[in-house]
Amino acid sequence: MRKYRLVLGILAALLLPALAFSASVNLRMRINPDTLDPTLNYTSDVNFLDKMLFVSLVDFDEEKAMPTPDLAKSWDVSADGKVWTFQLRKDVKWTNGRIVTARDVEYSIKRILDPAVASPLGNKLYMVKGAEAVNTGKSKDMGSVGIKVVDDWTIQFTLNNPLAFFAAQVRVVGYPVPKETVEKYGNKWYEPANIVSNGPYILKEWKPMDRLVFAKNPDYYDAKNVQIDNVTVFIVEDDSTAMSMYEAGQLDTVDVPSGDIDRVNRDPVLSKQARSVGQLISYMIQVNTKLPPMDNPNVRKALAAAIDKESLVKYIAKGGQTPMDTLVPLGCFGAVPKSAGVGIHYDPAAAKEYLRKAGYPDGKGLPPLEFNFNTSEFNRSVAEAIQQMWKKNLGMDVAVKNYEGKVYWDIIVSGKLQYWRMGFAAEVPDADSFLYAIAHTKYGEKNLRWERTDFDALVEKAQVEMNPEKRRQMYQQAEKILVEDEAAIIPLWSYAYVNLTKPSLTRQYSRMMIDSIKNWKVTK
Amino acid sequence: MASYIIRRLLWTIPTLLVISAISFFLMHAVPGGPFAGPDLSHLAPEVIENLNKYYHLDEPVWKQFLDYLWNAVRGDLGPSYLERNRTVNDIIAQHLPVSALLGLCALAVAMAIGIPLGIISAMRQNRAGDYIGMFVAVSGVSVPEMTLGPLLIWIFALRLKILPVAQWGSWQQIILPAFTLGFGSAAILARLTRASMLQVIREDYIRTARAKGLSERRVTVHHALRNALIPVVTVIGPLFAALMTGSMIVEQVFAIPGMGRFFVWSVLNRNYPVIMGTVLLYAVFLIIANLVVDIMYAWLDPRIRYN
Repeated sequence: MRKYRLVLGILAALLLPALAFSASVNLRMRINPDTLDPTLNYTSDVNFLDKMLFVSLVDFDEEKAMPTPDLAKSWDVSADGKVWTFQLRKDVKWTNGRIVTARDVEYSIKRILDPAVASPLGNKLYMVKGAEAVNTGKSKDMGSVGIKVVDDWTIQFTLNNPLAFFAAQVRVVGYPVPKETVEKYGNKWYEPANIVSNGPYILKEWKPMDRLVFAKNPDYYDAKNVQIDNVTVFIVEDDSTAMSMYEAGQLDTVDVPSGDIDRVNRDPVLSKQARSVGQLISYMIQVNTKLPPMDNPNVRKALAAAIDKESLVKYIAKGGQTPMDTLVPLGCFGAVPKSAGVGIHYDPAAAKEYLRKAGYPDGKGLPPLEFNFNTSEFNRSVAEAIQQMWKKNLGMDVAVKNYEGKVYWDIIVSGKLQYWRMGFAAEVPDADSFLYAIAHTKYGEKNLRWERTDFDALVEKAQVEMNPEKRRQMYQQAEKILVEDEAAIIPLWSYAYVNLTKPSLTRQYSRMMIDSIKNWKVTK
Repeated sequence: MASYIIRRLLWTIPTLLVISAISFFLMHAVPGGPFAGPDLSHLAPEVIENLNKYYHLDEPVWKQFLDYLWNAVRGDLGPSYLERNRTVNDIIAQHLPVSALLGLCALAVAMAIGIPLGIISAMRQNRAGDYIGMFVAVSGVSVPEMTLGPLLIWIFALRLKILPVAQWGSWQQIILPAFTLGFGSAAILARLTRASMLQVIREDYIRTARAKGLSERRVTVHHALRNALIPVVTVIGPLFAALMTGSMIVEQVFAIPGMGRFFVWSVLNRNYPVIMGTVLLYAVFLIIANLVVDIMYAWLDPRIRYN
């Protein structure tokens, strides 16, 4: 009997450490988060932290490109498309023990709209009735905003106009925050000593500019499906240093700096751990269609047709980007499939012909041209490569010039530039976010300075159209006007980067910079 | 002497005032603001307006400057535009000690390498030891930190695997950054020590000591070194201040949460209060360092007196 117990004891001692395996993962981010308050965060690098700590009304299924239930277990929309009602789960708990209710959601929405709070997310709610007036100070009546707590578990939004993708939009602004904690600690409410959250992880430690440490939240409503127990996020600004940390085993996953991509592909070990991750972000050239010679559509088309995007991606960008002739990245609702053949394709002969039709055969007689970009090594190498293509295919001499990030936007808005490089990411993967936001001649960014009322009509109608097929048609027509007939925008590619991940980590790769760490798994 | 020190200290007030005025207006004159910029998720104009109101950026610049000064003299250096949960005071309290420690270690490295190198070079003037020593010195000032840092990481962390790649917290993590930061200063100290030693060993009293039959070692260490080190010691103060305030590149390469990296970030992000706070802080350090140097100089060399 004694021997039996001894053997059992030894077995237990040997097995217990294995049972007590606690899955940990080491990640990296580039910048110190400005804030962990989801009602204040507008930096895309920080989105995944919000997802670790908090639960939003909806989550997003990137495969299906559709919102999925999270805090809200279901929702429905009225016949006129303007009233959206969300039913909440009853088992989502704050870490102080209280259950999350519709009042929490209402509090957070009003917090975002309060002009005294000055949330960077304010305008993302302007589709809600009364929201813009309150946020811009025109109305002081918070009660006029179209949000209603029907009961503890039901919240209702009333919009100004029908909006097909409102449920997806709500993901960004639908994170409730705990009123009692925010009011007690003010701006310090999300520091580790004070924070109250409701998501898959709890914030254990935050050393500014150094690291954040998280532990699994046992009270998370779906805790049984969260495999990783401990997450450490190191804040490392320098890409090469992060790469070295990965190679030394201090990080479990890292994005590869473009200078290292060739080396990684040649390395027998690293190349197996690498993969190209596409992003729903567009890299494009925008044109000021009022400034000569850019006011001539044939000049713009010539520029577009002379760019060999495949070569750019293969030899310069190297991240596995997807060359695009239309603007909206594939994977967004309403993106035009390649098979439709919309847009101006690479065709040096056609390019020469456009230029000749414009009145500048072989580039003769053109006024000085300058292509601009915001300062970065990557942008410079792209700009110089395209500069060579224009020289070779069109005989054009184009100067390239960069501007610093903070100044770039102002100078674009001033209208002084002829054409320039721009990147655009939308947090709702819908064609509307790209086409309406950038190109609507009155309500978009207005930097293209173009006028096509038929384009405006298309994107306005598509925004309120509830039938998906009709919406797709409208966006395809709109793209044709924008990038083919007018060439006011010359799309280059949708972003991609190369990522390295250790074999012990099984992860998904978000295309919208909203990784869900709770779904990742670590094997020993 | 005491009146000299008091006078110097009183002069810091107008100095800091001028520095803060120039910095403040220059900062606001530079185009772009804290909330401008086409980040992939750039802000809507209505949001920017609310944010400008929140931080009083919509008021006239001269009023903002006066408000800033009024708060600064009472010890409040203002909020950080990007982080709502920390003030400039918090930021300095958390990150300055890191830079100070890094600077101190770099200084130790600089002295431990530079001074002996300089002495050896001087004693072996125009022979192999001198050439090697000065070659090392020239490399030290020529190789930029941006190159030296990653090179050291590659050798010691990736190839030899005996040191961590980056970050801050353990004593092993201080070694590479301290060396990277201090190497250039080691070179400067080496050259300075060498020049000073060469001058001193030609003095009469050294010849006397040798004539008395003292060992070369006693002559060097006990007699020559003390006087040769005077110019070196006076340089230590500003050198430490320079190391502590100039550590931005090393902090970036080694992911160290110090003030230098924060300063660069705040400039790029137009985080005005943090920029102002850092500039003023650095100015104070440099002023104090220079004052300490002058006092030490007078103390070490009785022939020097300030009236």
